[in-house]
Amino acid sequence: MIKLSKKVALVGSFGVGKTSLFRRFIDNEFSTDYKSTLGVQIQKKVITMDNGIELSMILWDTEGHENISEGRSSYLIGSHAFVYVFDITRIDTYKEINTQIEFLKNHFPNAVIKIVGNKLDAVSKKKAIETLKEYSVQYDYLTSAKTGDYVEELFADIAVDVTN
Amino acid sequence: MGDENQKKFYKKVQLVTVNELGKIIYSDANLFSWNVNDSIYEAHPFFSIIESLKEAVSAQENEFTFPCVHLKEGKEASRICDVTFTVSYGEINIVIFDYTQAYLDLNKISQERNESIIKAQELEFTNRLLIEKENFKNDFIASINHELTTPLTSVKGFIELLEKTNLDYEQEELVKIIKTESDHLQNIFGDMFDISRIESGGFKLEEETFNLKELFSTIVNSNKGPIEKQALNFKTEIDNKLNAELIGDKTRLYQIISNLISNALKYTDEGFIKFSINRLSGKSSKQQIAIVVEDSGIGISEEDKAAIFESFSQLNPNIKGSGLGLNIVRSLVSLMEGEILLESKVGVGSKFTVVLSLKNASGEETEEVKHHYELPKGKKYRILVVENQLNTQYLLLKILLAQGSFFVDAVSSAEAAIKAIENREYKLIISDIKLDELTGFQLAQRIRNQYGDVAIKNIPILGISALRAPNMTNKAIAAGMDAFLSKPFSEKQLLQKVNRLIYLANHK
Repeated sequence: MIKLSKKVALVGSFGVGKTSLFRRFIDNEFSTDYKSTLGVQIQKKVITMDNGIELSMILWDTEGHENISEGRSSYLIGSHAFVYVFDITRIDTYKEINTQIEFLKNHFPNAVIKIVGNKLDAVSKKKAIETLKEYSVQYDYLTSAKTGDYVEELFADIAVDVTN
Repeated sequence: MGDENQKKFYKKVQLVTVNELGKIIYSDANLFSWNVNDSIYEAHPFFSIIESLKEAVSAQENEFTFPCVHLKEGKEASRICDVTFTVSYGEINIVIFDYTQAYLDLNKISQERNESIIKAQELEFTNRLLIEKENFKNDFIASINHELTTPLTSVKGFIELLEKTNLDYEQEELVKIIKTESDHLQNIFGDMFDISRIESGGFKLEEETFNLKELFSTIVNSNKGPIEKQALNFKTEIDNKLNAELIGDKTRLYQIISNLISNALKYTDEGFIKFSINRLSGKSSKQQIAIVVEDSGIGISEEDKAAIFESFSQLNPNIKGSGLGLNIVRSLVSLMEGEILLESKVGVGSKFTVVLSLKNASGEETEEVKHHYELPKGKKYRILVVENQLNTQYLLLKILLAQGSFFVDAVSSAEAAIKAIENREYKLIISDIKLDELTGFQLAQRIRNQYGDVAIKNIPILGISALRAPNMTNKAIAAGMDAFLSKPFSEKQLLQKVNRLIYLANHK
């Protein structure tokens, strides 16, 4: 069996639900209490993929910053994938998203980037799509860490992309 | 550094050295009990970063610091540490500083800051959604109102025409029922739309000069029939000391009084309804008046007094109505910066008093009151009707042709209207606002701006519409129209406007 280890960093503004997605994926847990993440917490989840690869996904749940370049740059070193998370219900967390994504693409040209709108439970999907279209936000997934919607799918997709 | 301090310091720092394969070759185990020969990669997933650091190391950079990393061993609580790696040939030195307490203290500040920003941003989004919903609701109501009012205009108009034909007794009674029901329907639509606009803050009062005594007479005349039909005594009284020429929103004042009388009528089976207007005080610029509607009806209990001004509130569910009338009254009185007082006793009756302060007009009588604008007999005027609703078009034709004073042409679009006015001389254009391509407003603008021929440029234009948007009269005037009439309108209202516009154009 092929064993691989890949680093996946969750980035984005504070309070968007990075830690909630992290906990939902790692432990299948969710809490409504907001606790701002201090620095970075790292956990590993081992996934056995359909193609037989055993992937150790090392997830870095980083503290939130509106602007990635203002965050701690060392946290981004060696990332194979980034999950850029924004909060669908807070326009400020995605209105400048293109600049943030450009930053990642320029500094980590080989990394997989997934753009994720979280808190889908707090607004109708139709309204979410309309609002994101209004702000020209290109996203990969709309998730709810609260209900678990599309969380597994998101990380499964990342697993495939980082092992290809 | 003293011995004690030195011990404390060293208890907060751990030194670890690993070889290229990640095997621990030295650890002082001050913070974490990692042993020599253990793999650092098994100690914590964080250390898998070493592989990337080995790739990133260069002649210029061999030291990497990771601040504020949560490290955990077994079931122990996480330590929040700064970790520095120094990558040199063959081995990696790791220095771990435990700053847990300092970081936790700092985090309290950022937690509070973040919470407050998140709440503000969420609130902004919620407000945005609420505004969108409100706009959608208002647009929907305005649109549905238009869709319902347009056929209702035809229904009401044709009822009026039907009434004038030779009907037998049974047919007359049936027509009366249809008329009452369509009036009721019109009131409900009007109430729905008004309450929606009032609640959304999109409601604006108009200012016009009007004659209060004239308004009083109009209200008395329109309510006399229904009140006396219910075998009630209709007492009316107007204060002679009143200065009748006032400035305010005549239509809404009419609505306030009509709603109060209509409410009294609903809840009074015997006795009387009294409507009076009194002057309370007055200055040269303003006059305070009290409008009183009193009845000998069922009365209102103390506990119901507050509730009757709420939307959809009805003391008797069997009584017909939208339940919005008194809510609208209260809202309109409030918009007019007035006051409404209620005195009532169960079984005795109710007395509503509306106190308003209205501006005095300069003293000249209003144009509509002073003139009747009769057109000379025997002369005929050509009118162009621009209306895309065929029923309404037909209704207008029927009403106008029945007067014997008009030739009438009808078209369904602004484009067809333009062709018509270029080929024939018209004394008046009656145009719907919501036409298919060019609107009635655009048609008026084009006529006023694009023609040098005064016979075209100055044709009087009467706008008509079922659109219930605010300030339609002002919008129509701004577009170049001469007057505006809301649908549904009565034959009398239409002819008053038509006669006035033609009369004025011929007496310039």
